Amino acid sequence: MTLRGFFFDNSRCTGCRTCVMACKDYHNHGEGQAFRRVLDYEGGSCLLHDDGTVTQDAFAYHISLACNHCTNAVCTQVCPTKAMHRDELGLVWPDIDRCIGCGYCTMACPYHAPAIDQELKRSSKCDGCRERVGAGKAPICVEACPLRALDFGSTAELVDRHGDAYHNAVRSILPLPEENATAPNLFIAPSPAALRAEQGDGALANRKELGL
Amino acid sequence: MSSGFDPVSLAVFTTLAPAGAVAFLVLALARLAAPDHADAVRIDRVIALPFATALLGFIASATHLGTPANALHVFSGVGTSPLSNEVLAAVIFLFLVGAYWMCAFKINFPDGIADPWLVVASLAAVAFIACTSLAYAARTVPTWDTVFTPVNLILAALMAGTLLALLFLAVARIERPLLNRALMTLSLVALVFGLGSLLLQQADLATIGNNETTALSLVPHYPLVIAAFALLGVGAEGLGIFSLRRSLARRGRIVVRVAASLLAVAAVLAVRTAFYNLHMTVGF
Repeated sequence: MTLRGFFFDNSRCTGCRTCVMACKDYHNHGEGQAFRRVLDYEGGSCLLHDDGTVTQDAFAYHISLACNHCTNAVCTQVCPTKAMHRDELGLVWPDIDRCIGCGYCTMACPYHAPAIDQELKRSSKCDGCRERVGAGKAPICVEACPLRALDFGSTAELVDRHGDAYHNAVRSILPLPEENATAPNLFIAPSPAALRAEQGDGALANRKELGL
Repeated sequence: MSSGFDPVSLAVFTTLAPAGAVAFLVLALARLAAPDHADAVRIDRVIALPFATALLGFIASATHLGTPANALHVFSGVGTSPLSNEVLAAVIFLFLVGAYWMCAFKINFPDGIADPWLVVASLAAVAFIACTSLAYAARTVPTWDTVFTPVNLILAALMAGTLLALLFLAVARIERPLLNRALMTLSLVALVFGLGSLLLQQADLATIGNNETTALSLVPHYPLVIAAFALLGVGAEGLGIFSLRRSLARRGRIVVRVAASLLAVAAVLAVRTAFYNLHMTVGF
């Protein structure tokens, strides 16, 4: 089976949330529902010196994040009904004919990708726009991104389109979990701000927006 | 959008069901060692009580499901999902015990059937407690995937389950001082070790965190919960010991043991509720 995933150019992303809105629109989501979200990660500070000058080492960056259709997907492993499964396109999504809405996938996913849909009473999450992908198109978030910061495809396709950027990509920047947690199919070209964040003084700035 | 996890119903489940299974184990052993048939019959009737305790917990757990209509698919994850293992173990245990109770209503239910049935049901009870204690072993949830999760659950079940068993034995008019003292001792030991395990866990929480939060910040009141567990537990044990007095009339003994069981269940419930507050992932 060919695994598919997202390529994300962290330097290009301005945090505009067009991807979020396109996803909500395409999936007809109501208020409070979102398969794709943008994490705002910020840190650093301004320093006022004795001579009255100010210097700063503030940084901020954005991560457009949905399900990463992880190679070692913990949601599929804890799911008691095998509703959460990987399909023939390599995409992970819950089969509503099997899901009991127990919420174990929502507890296990370190990206907070699945949630229990309050109308469906079942798990729901990004399915990689499987119908579009099946028809040879890109997921709606990728197509909507005005900065071309997001891409989607198989490894071969991503290598073809991004070359060195793909080869140099990392699978985790703060505050995402370590790559070895679930082996996400998320390939990030980190921004200088994300490298700066490794010093450890940053934090998520939009927890409330993310529902955390 | 929501997580779908309901801490209240799951805390009720993980408090009542394992304790009910322990109480059943005690009754089954007492039945296997019953000196005469009259004792055995009275125990058979009372097996309804641990069964009801465990069943109540199981039903409580089902109330948090969004779509229980799909519940039969739950067995397809046996072997991979710890939740499927737990549900399968619960169904086997409840079926064996419930069916036993109903069959034992037959007059002259032969010991030749009762004894092996109870042995198998006891093994199912052990498997059920074990599977419940491991149900939260999700490798991406560092606060749950620790040795303290199964240890706390098993010790709490022993502490409360033995007191429930004492109550059920009194209801069945089974008076065996040696067994009663053994159960009281086991309950006390489970409380002491349970407290020790909770205190060690409190220290261990300081070492757990993800990129955004620390485990301790999730349960700032954990020392209070442990104190509540200790106080309620000591109260339950005190009443349990008091109930062993020979001077106590049967009705008084039952009343005291009901109070002891309620205190024990409350102690476990406090810890189980805190357990669900401890949820965090390795992410953010």
